[in-house]
Amino acid sequence: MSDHISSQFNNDIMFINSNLTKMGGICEDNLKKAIKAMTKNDSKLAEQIISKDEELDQIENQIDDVVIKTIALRQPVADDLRLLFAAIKIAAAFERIGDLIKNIGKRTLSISEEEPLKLKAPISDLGKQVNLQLTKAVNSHTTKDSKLALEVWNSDIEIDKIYNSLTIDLVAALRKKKQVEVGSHLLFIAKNLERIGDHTTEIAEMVYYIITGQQMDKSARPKKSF
Amino acid sequence: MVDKINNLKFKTKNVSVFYGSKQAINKISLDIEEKQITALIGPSGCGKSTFLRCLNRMNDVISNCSVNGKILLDGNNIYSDEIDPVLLRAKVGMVFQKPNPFPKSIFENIAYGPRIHGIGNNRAELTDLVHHSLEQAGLIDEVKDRLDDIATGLSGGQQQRICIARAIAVNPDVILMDEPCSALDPIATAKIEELMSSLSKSYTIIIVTHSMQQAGRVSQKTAFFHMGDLIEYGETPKIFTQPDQQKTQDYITGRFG
Ligand SMILES: Nc1ncnc2c1ncn2[C@@H]1O[C@H](COP(=O)(O)OP(=O)(O)OP(=O)(O)O)[C@@H](O)[C@H]1O
Ligand SMILES: [Mg+2]
Repeated sequence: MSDHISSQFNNDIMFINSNLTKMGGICEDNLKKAIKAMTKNDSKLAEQIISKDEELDQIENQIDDVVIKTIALRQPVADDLRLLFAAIKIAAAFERIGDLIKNIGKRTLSISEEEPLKLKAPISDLGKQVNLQLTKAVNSHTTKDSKLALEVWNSDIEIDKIYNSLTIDLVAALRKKKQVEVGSHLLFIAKNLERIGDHTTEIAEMVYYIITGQQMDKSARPKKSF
Repeated sequence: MVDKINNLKFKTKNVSVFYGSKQAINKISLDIEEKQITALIGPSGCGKSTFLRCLNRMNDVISNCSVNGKILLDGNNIYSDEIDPVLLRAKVGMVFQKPNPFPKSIFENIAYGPRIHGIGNNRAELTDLVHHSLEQAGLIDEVKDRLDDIATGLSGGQQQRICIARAIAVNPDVILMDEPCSALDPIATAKIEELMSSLSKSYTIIIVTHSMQQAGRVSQKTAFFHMGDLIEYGETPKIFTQPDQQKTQDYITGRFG
């Protein structure tokens, strides 16, 4: 990607790529902390996560600026054009993931202290699964690995399955114990994790597009979650 | 995207050109669609102009130049003995990089070709033809009150449109353009490009350009030449988003090939 005759062009592309990697790293780290904060009811950690979100917004804006400037000044084509188009979408996906993680943090703060630990365990498992996918998606971008991107895309269906069965169990448990308030927060947290999985899939789609020039066949993977 | 099927105007098969013993292009087989704009791109010296000049036998006038292979225009071999190169060059007109109007009046520049080809028998017919050609070249409003002015006094963009009008005046099928905008500013360039698009409703246009953006803006098909070889030929949007060949990609994205 960075072997253009113009060194400024190479620098701009490097800037975009390294900042996408950075956004990915922040998301992975924040998601890990969010799951931990929720499980341990750690409000200090939850607050940390919330403040970190701003950085993602800033990096997204910087990436957008460089992409717009590059398109205007260089009229890029072929793989360069695909990279720039995809960079905007990938940055937007990370930004959305950041928002969803922040929302998990906020809900963690609202959950009362006598929270039912047992209910949280499957959500924590879902979170770890989603984070694993996120790591793979970030790696597929950094190492330009279309096979890994495809793998991420194909495994989102597993996340949907876990999420679906988790919500059924959660609703059943809540009905028994009448924990409406904590229950609705936990349901939203689970839903946020499932949405993070979807954005992770979008990232994988874009990585695949950058590398191959082909769109993934979206109809081949019907969405099956609530 | 489904490829639109258009009639073929030119069919070239294994066209090679030598200047003396030096080969300039190597077995070029390229089908050019009627009433479309085809762009030829590639690094300097790759043979774009050489190939273009084959299409109206302009290479005939270069002493040590020999052309092998077959070039069919509407199915007829243009290098066969029955073909009169002068008539061929009226049917397949050419516009060059540097506008080259004759140092004569605007009127005479346009009327010259029709006169030698016996088109337009009297002054009234010729006047009509000159007006019509200037109109098609998008120039009539700018020059209609000064047809007797000397053409070389016009701006570069206007001179280039005079040259296009001159080509149109002899009723061609095809217009070849070799870097027609390289000496023009962006506005004059935009006018020529717009003109090309409207002319392509009536004429087949083949343009050589060093501007990737221009190829992208005006052409439906793009052919990439490299060191005398045709590397890739296809729909322009495809060439500029997903070229099949690494060499094409390296060239259009400005990489070391
Ligand atoms: N009249 C000539 N006599 C000898 N060699 C020639 C002649 N015209 C062109 N050549 C050679 O043939 C090759 C192709 O030249 P051509 O002019 O077709 O390239 P081009 O792609 O049009 O380049 P440019 O983009 O610089 O106009 C070059 O190596 C050139 O030096
Ligand atoms: Mg040339």
